[in-house]
Amino acid sequence: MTRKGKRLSFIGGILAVIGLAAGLVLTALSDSVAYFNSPTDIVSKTPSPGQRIRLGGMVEDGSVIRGGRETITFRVTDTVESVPVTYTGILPDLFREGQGVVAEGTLGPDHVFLADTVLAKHDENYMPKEVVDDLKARGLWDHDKSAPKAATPEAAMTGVGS
Amino acid sequence: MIVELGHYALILALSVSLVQSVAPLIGARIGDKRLMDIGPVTASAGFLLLAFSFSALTAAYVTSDFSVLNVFENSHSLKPMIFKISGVWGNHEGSMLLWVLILAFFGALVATFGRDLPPSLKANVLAVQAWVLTAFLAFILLTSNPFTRIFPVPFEGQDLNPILQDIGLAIHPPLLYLGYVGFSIAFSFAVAALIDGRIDAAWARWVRPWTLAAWICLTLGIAMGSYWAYYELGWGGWWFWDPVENASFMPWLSGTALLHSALVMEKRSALKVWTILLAILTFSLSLLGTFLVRSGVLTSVHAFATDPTRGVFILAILCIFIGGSLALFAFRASALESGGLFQPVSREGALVLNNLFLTTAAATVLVGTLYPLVLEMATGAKISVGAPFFNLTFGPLMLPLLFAVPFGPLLAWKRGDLAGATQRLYWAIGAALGGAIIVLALTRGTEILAAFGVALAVWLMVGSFADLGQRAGFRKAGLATGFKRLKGLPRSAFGTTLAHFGLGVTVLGIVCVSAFQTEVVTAMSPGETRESGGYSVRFDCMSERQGPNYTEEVGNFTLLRDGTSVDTMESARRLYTARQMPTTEAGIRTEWFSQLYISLGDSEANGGATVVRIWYKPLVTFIWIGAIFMALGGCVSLADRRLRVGAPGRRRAPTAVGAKAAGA
Amino acid sequence: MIFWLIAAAMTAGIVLVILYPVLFPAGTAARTRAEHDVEVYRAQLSELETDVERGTLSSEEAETARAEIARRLLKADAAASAGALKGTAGARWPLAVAAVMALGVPILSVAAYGMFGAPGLQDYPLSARAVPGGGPSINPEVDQLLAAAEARLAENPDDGQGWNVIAPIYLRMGRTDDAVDAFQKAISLLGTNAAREGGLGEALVQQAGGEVTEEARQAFERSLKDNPDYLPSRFFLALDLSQEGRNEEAATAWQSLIEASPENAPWMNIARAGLADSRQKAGLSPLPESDLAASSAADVTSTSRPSQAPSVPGPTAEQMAAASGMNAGDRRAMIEGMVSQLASKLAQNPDDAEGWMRLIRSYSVLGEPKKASDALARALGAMGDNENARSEIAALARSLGVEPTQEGQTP
Repeated sequence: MTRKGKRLSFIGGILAVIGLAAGLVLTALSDSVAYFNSPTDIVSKTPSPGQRIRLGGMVEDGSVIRGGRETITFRVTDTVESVPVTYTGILPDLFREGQGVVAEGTLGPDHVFLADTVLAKHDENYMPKEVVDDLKARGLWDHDKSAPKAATPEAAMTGVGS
Repeated sequence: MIVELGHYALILALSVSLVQSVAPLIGARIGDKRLMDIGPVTASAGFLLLAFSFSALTAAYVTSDFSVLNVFENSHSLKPMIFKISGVWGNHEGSMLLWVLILAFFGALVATFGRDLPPSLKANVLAVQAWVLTAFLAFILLTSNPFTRIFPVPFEGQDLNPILQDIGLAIHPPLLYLGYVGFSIAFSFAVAALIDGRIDAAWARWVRPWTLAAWICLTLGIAMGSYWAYYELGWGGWWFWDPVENASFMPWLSGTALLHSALVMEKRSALKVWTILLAILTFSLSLLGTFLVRSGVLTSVHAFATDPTRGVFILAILCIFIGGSLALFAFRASALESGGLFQPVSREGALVLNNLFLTTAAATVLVGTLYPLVLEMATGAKISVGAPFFNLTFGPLMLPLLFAVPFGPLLAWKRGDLAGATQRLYWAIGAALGGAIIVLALTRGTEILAAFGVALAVWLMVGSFADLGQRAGFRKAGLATGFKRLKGLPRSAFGTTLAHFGLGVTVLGIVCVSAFQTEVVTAMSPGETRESGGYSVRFDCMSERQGPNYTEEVGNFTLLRDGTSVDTMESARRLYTARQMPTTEAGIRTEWFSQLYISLGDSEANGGATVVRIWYKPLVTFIWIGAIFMALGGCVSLADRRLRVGAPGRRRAPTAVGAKAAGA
Repeated sequence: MIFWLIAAAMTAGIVLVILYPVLFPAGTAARTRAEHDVEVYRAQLSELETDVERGTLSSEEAETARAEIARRLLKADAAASAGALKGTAGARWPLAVAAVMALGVPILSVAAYGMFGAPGLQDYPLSARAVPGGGPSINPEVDQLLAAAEARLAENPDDGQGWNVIAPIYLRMGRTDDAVDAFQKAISLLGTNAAREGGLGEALVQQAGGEVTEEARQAFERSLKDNPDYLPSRFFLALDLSQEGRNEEAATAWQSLIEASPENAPWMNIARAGLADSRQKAGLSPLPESDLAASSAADVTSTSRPSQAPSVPGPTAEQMAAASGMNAGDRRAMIEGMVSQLASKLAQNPDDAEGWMRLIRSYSVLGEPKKASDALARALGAMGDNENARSEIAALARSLGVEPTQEGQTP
């Protein structure tokens, strides 16, 4: 190979790898990224089935039913609307009624949200940030409550999921 | 008074660091040895001052001096001593102080061990190091001062986050910081070379061991963080693609690339410009990691926007250093001489491939980490980029790289022989095929992906020894001569083998856990049993226990095999009373390299059924053992004499061995 | 002062360190960078030879490598011999640069420290601040709340209500200095009232080890000015009168306090004892038996000898028991008040063997062996040649395990 040819093949190879990476990133971003929705969002415009969603809000008081022992249903509310959720598995330590929660999964055809991951945080006054931002944006945030503390990095989001 | 002296020492260190930023630089510019020599003495003095300052803060923690706001907020008189001490860096202010202490420590090391460096290079390196130090000292003093006092003095502190009261977490941040900050040396050398427009021959020889040392710490730090998350969070995963994890993983990826490209530069004087760029990028990613973790931007973009002092300060540091160094690079890179030539199929070529994939992978992780933040700031849309994204992008990029690893060390410099290398890898190919066949046989052909994964891991593990085998010449010279030669091989060869072997071990662990782990989520009443990992797990009862600062509900389990009890296990939910904070203490039982992992969910109120999650995780410990092998390989390589040398000593040694000793 | 001395020493050390390379330049002339390069390439060549010797590198590979390194070596060598090191070894202006920077260090440091620091502020390690008897942590929950309240006050020291709430807590915990400080802050921010002034007085009494000081008395008087029926202040004023030996006034004060107090008030027993004591010393007729019930029963300090009515009362069992119904701080204040009263009486009238024995016993009960030993020594000294009393006192001391201190041995 000539020197120029060599150089071209190098550059070609590099571009191919970068192109591959860019392709992967773009596909992944369009497929495997979950959008944050509030219960109101879901009720007002039903998302397409199969679209991954992070549903954030508070666990409605008195809504948690531990039905078939492992399977739990509860409602997530943003004080305006609420959405029923079913989840099978172990709930995080701080899953409680009236507390902030983020459920990740898809919306079933019967408008029941099928969660495969439920997140809460290892901190008693934690609200998932999306929930706080969302409530604040709509003026539903209770300003008397202390704003969530800046968490230490290590106190990462904990939850249960597959 | 000690506290105030520590505070004063911190400020004095800033002044000294300012001198160090300027004097050596002027000295190098005008060729004045006296001014250049200010660099090493100030670097050492600055380190001593910061060490004193850090000790003063530690003393305040140890004696529970709650007149220091930082101690009051993050400590408690009843805390065990070890966590009082680890509390020093378990919070923002203290951890930043540790950060600068380590930075100064590395500067002092260069000052002390860099005697044989060309003086002007050393002066420039120390000056650049001091710029970083100055910036972060200013950050600490202006936004995060750990020595702020309060009056009246409270009588009791506000505790440490109980989840941080863990021995793993006491060591984890310092290790990560050693890694992050260690890359600053490579950065300083790179910028110094750019300032001069000249790369000394000693450059790569110096940069590589420093990078290696930082890389070892970062590897161990990441592995430790991963294991901590695994056993403390109680949800069984070992890597979550959490932004905090990514923040340490990105510098690791590009640091690994730097390690390999510095090798090319050292041996062949090629890839100079690229190596310089990589050194800048690696430290930039470390800074970015510091920014992500320390600015609070991850916790809430909103919080970051409303109270931006700290975040904006670090962001400014980030922009100045990354932007400045990249601009300098663009401006000066053309002045650097380019080095040797090589064929695409050659050791250099293989290392380029390594660099290409590692940096691209780092870039995808970067995109996945920053995209949600940028998108939210720009449009307000909130998305989460989780494991699916990274599995889809990072995975495919790693596969070709892992496949190519065993070839690399077998290819000759400049012009390699791919067919010959393949020939030497017959053993590895055979072993890999064997592994795949065994997996297929055991699973009756259902786990094709797992078979492929196992084959890849075995290929890496066995293939990593091919280079040693070949260099010892077992095949041609026979065993006896082979072992004799093996002894004579440079340690770096063993280091490479160990590190690549460790990579294979980690891959094997990941593949086995992903493909073969079993998981049972079930509600169990006392007396019930479930099958997992070849055992019957019997749930005996729940009991309550009182710890020093928590209460816990303990689930007691008995492991049975063929009806006889083998062992007992405990899994607990803890409630730290002071903060009303629950944590999970998973029950983990290690058998050989596999683990049985039990975590508890909710109990029914009347002492009835409890939700239990039981995993059997085959070979899961390989994930971390592999990382230890990698770090060990790094250490062995670091112990190689030739790497420790800056420039050889002044005495002309008569023998080759003497020359090395003189340089050491 | 010591702080500034050490800081100055540190600063001076640093300035010297910075100036050292300039004042005493290293003798050897620096070599050029090309010379350094030559050294590196030479080392590479010799490493190459070792590899070949060990047989870990094939000879043809070694040959190419050798050729390449040799090429670089030649080039570097040429550069090394061509370029001499330019330098400013003789020039003076770099010295000035160094001097300016070295001078900048103390100026900048002191200025910045003045801005951020708290010069010379002492350390407050917890061990040096432990509460007498209490220990730093009596109840973790209270500690938590207290810590939170303290944090708020640290941030917002003008929060009078906060000081008002926290002050009695300090008082109860026995953190008297903090309590005095907090009451004073609450008063200055929220104005005076009976409870605050009374609390301040009580804190001052505790601070003085049970002695109602002049300052405390003024506080109680201010408290009563605001609310003449604020009984705790009246209690302490009566105690003050007793302590000062103004027995008639004391008797009146105790009497009116008893009349005004509900039957189950925590201070009732002490008040009755005080009344009996002051009446007796004022030479007034003893009270009817029922009123004396609290104070007439057997005295803890009474010895085998049947005693007459004590001339100087120490705290009696009842008084101790009454005190146990009070909170820790009040109790200690009360007992210490009684004991210090007894001690001062004995200082004026050292012939009272009975009184000495009571004092020794009281100190022993209070867990102050040093003071007990002291009292024993002084008692033995005061008894002089009254062998009877001496042996009695010594026997008591032996039974309590109290040893006299050295100085008292010699009468």
